[in-house]
Amino acid sequence: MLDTVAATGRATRVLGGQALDLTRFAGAVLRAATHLPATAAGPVMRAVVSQVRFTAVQALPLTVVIAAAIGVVVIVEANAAAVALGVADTLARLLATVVVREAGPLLAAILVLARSGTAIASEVATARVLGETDALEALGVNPLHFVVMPRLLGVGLSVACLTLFFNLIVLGSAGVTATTVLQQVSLDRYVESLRLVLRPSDVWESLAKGTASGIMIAGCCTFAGLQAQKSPSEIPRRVTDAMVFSLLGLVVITATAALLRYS
Amino acid sequence: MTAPVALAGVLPAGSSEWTAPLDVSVADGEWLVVRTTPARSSPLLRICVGLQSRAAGTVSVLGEDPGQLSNAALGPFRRRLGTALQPDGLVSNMGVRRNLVVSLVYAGVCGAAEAEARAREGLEQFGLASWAEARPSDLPEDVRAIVAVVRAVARRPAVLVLEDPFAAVKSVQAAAMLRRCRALAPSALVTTFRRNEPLYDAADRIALWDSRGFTPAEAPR
Repeated sequence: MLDTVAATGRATRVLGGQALDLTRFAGAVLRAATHLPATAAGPVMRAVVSQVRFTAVQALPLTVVIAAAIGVVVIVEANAAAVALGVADTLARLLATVVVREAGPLLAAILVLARSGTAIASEVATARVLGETDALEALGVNPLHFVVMPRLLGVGLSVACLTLFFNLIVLGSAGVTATTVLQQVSLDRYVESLRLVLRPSDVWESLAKGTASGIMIAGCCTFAGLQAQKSPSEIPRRVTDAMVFSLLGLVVITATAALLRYS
Repeated sequence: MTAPVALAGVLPAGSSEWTAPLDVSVADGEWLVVRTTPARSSPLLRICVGLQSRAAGTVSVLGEDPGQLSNAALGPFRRRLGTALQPDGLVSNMGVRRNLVVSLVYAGVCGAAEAEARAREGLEQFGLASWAEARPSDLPEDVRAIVAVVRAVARRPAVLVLEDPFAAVKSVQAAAMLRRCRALAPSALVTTFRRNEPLYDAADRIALWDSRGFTPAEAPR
């Protein structure tokens, strides 16, 4: 019993220490942003574009497949439940609430975490192990400028765009299923009910959550990668850390947004 | 005139082969070559560029104490140094030319256009033009070593800090490279892990640093 309490205490202390380090890291990134050399602004923006191409553009086919499948599954399940409860005309409200406000930003972020977050964490950890970041630091290049900032901006922008795209595909595939396969509602009625239910604030909130999630994922993955020391065996450990920090961060962002909306 | 590099009574933080306080200085316009072990060389050069802390002593590099500089001040300080450590740390996901350009623009040494020009010039001067777009993993060991040094001298540093440079390069070629480096950087602190004739020829002063201490080794020719 005491062993369990002690183990829980140790784990809490480690997690608290890491959360503190992550907070310090966020502060250091903000400070570093104010010291970006003027000559580096252009290269940083080019690196951001390159990051968006890798994180968002190359992820589009996978996003289409997953979003379309989710749209079909959600509408079929929701339709069955709605018909049983006699509330079939609330499908659009359900989609707007579940998909646009909650599932869209979360699933787009998880997709980016699985696809790009792992790549970022392992790339940064490998650069640390190979001495690349040390060598650049010795030459006066701040790793926060070269490694972290382009990824924060690029992944933040990417998740926001993918969230919007994801929502559109889900709503589209759900609409096609509802109107042609299930034939529960006409296309005009479906579009009209979405228009009535969805407010501009839902879209902005969805984009804000996507951006915050992307920045958080890139921050956690670069932070974990930069923690690697000199041994290649640290790379998988740091990638695992990055995934755990990012998933916890996603839960915090989703819960905070829900609390803010309904408080 | 203040010596560009001056260390007095320095001991590194953490356990190391380096257990006796070290005094060493590099005069203005001087190339000092120190033959020593990797376990001494690595902390010595890292202390000089502010990558490692020390347990004792005073350090002055270009009039600054790197251990006392804030993160914001370290960038401008390191901009004036040309550093090539071991491992060389060439960025593996970009080609040789971009490695040179990135180290210049992100450090704030010069803008993109001038960095491109300096990179091109450096690659031509050191016979690397045909490797410009190659990734570090595709480079032979000797070419990698030269690229790391070109990256350090491309910024026209006040002081070069080199760790076992040109070890993998043929003697004749290394001698020619060192002559070019001397023309681009007036002062240098260079370590080598073994007897290296081209380095000894390029040096103004040579020292041996081992468990017996830091002693003048042999007069350069």
